[in-house]
Amino acid sequence: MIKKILFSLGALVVIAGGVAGMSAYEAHVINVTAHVENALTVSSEDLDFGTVFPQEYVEKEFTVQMSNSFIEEGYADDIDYVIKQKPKCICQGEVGTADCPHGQYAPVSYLDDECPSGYVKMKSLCGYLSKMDGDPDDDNDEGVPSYYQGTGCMPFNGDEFALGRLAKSQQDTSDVWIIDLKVPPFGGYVAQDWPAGCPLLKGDPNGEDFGCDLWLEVTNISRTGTPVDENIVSISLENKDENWNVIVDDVYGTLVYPLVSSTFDYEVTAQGLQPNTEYSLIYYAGPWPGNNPGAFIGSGMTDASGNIAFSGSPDLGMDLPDSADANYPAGAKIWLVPSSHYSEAEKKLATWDPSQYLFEYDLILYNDTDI
Amino acid sequence: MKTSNKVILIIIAIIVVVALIPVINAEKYKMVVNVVEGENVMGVNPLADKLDFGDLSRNNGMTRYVNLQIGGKIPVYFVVWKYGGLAELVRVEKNYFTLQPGDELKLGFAVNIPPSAPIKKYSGGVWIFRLPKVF
Repeated sequence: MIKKILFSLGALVVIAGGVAGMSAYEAHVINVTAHVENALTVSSEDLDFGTVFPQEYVEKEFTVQMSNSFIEEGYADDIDYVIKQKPKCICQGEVGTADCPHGQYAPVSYLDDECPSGYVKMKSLCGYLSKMDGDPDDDNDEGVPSYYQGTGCMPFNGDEFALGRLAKSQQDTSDVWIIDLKVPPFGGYVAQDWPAGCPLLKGDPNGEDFGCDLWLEVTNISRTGTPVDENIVSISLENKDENWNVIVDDVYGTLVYPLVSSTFDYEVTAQGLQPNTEYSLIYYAGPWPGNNPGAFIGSGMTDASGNIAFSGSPDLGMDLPDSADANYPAGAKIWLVPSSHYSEAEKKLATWDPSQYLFEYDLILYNDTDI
Repeated sequence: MKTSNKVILIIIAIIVVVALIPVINAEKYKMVVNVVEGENVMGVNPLADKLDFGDLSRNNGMTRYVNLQIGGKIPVYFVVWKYGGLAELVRVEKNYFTLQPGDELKLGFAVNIPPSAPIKKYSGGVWIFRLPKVF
């Protein structure tokens, strides 16, 4: 009896060990990395302008907002997004059958902007849609006006992006967007008041369907002292304008570092920088030129696309901010600057060109435990 | 124990091991969407800890993406399995496919809220099985 029990236990141990070992081996051999992307796309299927007539003006509005789950998330703050226009696909087969698995309409592929099998792109409405900020009070969204300007037309082709930002820190958790459509006339059926040089539609003026998908793509999330775990935090690095407002674009980075540690174990990633250029991560301790006392933290090279990623564990020998810093005790400024603009030996900026720098989203704190 | 029983036990053990490995190594994500009142409301949550489709009013859709990258030296076959109340509202852009070494794919998960959907929170999950394609 004891022998059977021992055999069974042994078999269980072998199976458990085998599963764990084989699992690790399989994961190593096939080596698949998978992660959920921050980027997402939203499509509204309800912005139906219905039947419209040449030179008619119609508009619709929609709301982009933070979800309740995002608002409740304590360590996430801002969302940057763009509103793009992409071709809309229509099924060539019979709707409701296997010919049209996505229904009558389908979006293009995220990767190559091609329609799914069995679908073709509709005649494009994209160049004729505006995307205007419906609540400009927040002063952090940038729309695209209508191509039609009354006495003339702007040469839009539908590739123009609108830029939006939602920010808990500014109590801006919702944006209203107004989409308007000034219907161009068909060639040969143009009223006298249609400005010369403005676009004309081609095709049958009776019963042509036009379409366009609006895509909302999230490009960045700013985090405020994000607790990755109890000690590690993550902050955004952003380019800023002359008023120190964050510029909403594709130029940004992330700094991950410990709040309390004997060494400043950091990781930096960023994009949209000058290609093939060495950048330095610095502690800028004001006032100018930042060597009060300031610190060189580390450096790395961007690739040909302007992306950068580097890490290190320097012993700064000081808390951040240092008591001599003009920003003490509020926090420390951490910047990513071209190395050619910085004197590592003197720990100061030698050149001032903020258009090339990434600045900390919020001042940071760091406790060096071995000073 | 007879030798035949031992052989059977070993075979069962091998089957269990082989069957469990893909389950253990599958990429597993929770999915959630909150259907809310209103028209053309799109509440987004782009955080990457799960496939959170945010707050959507009826007739709206959202697509989230899982990036898959093959770092090994053998092709990998993928099978996507979704479950839960949200599963029937979510369409996977691609299923039962193979990626070659070095390939990268952004796999889309699109949710579309039908006009008749009740106002409530839907949840579910998705498992992405990855199997080495040896043959």
